[in-house]
Amino acid sequence: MEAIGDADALYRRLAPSQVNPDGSVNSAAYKRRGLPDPSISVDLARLTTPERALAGFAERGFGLGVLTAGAVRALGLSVHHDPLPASRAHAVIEGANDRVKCRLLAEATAILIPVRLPDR
Amino acid sequence: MTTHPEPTGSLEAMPAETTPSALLAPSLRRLEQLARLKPDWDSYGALPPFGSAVAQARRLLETVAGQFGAEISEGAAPFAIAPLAVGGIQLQWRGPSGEIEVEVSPDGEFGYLLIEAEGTNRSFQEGDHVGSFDLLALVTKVLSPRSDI
Repeated sequence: MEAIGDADALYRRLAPSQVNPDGSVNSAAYKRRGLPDPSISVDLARLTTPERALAGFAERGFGLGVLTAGAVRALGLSVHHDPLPASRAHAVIEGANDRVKCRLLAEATAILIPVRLPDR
Repeated sequence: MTTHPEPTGSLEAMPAETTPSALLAPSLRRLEQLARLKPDWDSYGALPPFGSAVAQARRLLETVAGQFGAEISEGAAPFAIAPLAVGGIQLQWRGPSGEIEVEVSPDGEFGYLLIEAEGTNRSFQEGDHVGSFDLLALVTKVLSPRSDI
């Protein structure tokens, strides 16, 4: 288990439908299934690469968002390393239990690799 | 101060591009596109939008366009429409008085996040299980000209 510092970058895959017409990230990208203390999956950037984080999804038009662990914690959320058999870089953001936090997470997310938007 | 065209009182007198049906077309196409999403469309296990959510979102779009189409043309169309991982739809409007994110749940219920700007600060207000009437009042608040200008 890796300790995640505030300066650590976190990757979040973004579906084409999760990016707004102005290029910003839609808050829906961080809304999960309404379960208590929902977990938002991200990848710890220093344990992967943007290409690996998007492997298998780039051809479907997915992009990659990036935010810092410090930005997550500044919202009162927690982030910790949660390696999986298929992904050593897997981490989770927890505590995003209201719409405001989801909105602020989206605003803290920069686009590292743009999505390929379908015709609108 | 931003001005808006005066309502003409007649759909026939309106330019074609500002009739409610013309305003709705891109949004309805977007809904149709989202309705075709497959399971796991977000790569994190998301459900595709439920038919009931899509239908309710469509009704809301039609209501807002019908109420505001003649007055504010493009502003009556939502800024963004996105799918929710739980199987719902999210619609967002931006206006002179702020912004509103409206969530339509899989069973067609409404929730919202209202964002109002106060100088350099923002205030947030959110709610669940909101009735159509109250929701429309919130959208109206966002799309209406600011009263403090």
